[in-house]
Amino acid sequence: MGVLADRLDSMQVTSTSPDGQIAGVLRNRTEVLIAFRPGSYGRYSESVLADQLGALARLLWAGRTREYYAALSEAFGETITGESPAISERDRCYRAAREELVAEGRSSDGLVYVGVQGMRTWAVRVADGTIRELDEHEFATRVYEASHAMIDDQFAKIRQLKNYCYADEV
Amino acid sequence: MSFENLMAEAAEIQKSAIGHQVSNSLASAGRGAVYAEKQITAKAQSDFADIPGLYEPFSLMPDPASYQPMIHDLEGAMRTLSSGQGNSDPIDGPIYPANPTLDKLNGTESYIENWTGRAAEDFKRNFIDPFPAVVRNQFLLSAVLKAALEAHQEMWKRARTDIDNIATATISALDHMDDCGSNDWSLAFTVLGAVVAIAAVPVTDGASLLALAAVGSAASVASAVAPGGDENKRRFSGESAGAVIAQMRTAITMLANDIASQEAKIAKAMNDTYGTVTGGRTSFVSNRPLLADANAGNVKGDLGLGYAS
Repeated sequence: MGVLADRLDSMQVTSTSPDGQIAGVLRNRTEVLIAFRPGSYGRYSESVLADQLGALARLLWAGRTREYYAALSEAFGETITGESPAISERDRCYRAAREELVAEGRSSDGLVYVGVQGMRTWAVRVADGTIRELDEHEFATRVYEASHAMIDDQFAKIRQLKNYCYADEV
Repeated sequence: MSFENLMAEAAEIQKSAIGHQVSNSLASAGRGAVYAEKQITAKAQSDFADIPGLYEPFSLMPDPASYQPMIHDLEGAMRTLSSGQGNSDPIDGPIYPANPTLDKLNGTESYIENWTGRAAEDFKRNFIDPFPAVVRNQFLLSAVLKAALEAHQEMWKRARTDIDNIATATISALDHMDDCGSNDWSLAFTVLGAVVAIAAVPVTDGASLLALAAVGSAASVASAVAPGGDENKRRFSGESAGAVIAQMRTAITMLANDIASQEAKIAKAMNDTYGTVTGGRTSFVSNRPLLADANAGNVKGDLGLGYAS
């Protein structure tokens, strides 16, 4: 693997939830770590917490996209800030399907769910009673598991989609 | 520039392509993967077996630095041949200080005023009078040869850059094709602008319209149109190892063709110039003196040294 792979693999993006209470880090392509401002975790209800995490996911993804294009620009020696326009029928097939693509992940106990469609519409769900049952470190671990599974799912589905749309490319 | 690592980059490309294709095929094979692995691996190795061989000829390209001694020698020749008038390089402009030794021939006229006879007349007609033009034309010819060497040197320099760019972009493309964005990249083929055609260099010869065909290096010819524009950029794309490598093969073929076309420009100019020189030899070399054929019998005669009054 080359320099670009290394840079993408070790990329680190940080952000904070809109209410300022939850810090998030996306690193090594598939890992999401969160930390709560002291005392804030216990004050959440499951639905508000889920909303804040969804917004945090969107922010992390936006940051990741910027970093991604910066890495591409460096690797290819030209300034790239976005995707090039769809040229072929294959491109159009791929882009359209990608908009609809749903990637999902859950923690092993099912208490936390993270899903995204077209990498734009995010849905996070936290099962009722979770906040009472888990302390914030245990909860952060569930978030880690669910988001890791979701990211893996996204990569796997993208690869399948590309294989499908670009099957006769060579 | 990582041109020195070119073969190492080629090996890296091959390894990455095989790795990507194998893991992608295994993922698609699902439960049958473990049975198909040997076959999948063998196919990937076969699909990408040609990669190092594609880069090898480029790793053997002439070193541009090896042209410098020859260019230096021709600069020396130009210094020797530089006379009082028009002593700037017609191709890339630098002025060569006049060589005072050359003026001495014109100074001989007064010495031979009292020398008469065929030899004397021929000497004046064939040597003294045409001398400045012959010198000037040899100066121009040296300039044309020097510029051709510089153009060739520039071509190899740029070819190294271009093949290295192809390798680097291919590695990046393989790294990036599994991401959700479309995988495309562009390459600038800088070798395309390396050799600049020069307006014909007119040969000093009052009567005819001889001109030397010349080419120059884009690096040194001041008026060259900047070749690095978008017209030298080509776009490539690929979403799988096979597609990316196929595009790489295309890029390499394009580069090989570009190099050939630039070399053809130089070759054509040199062939044309050679034709001009051999066809108009007297403009470049003074005629053989009669005295060279004199012997004891005729050396004092009218066809020889003649007499002094």
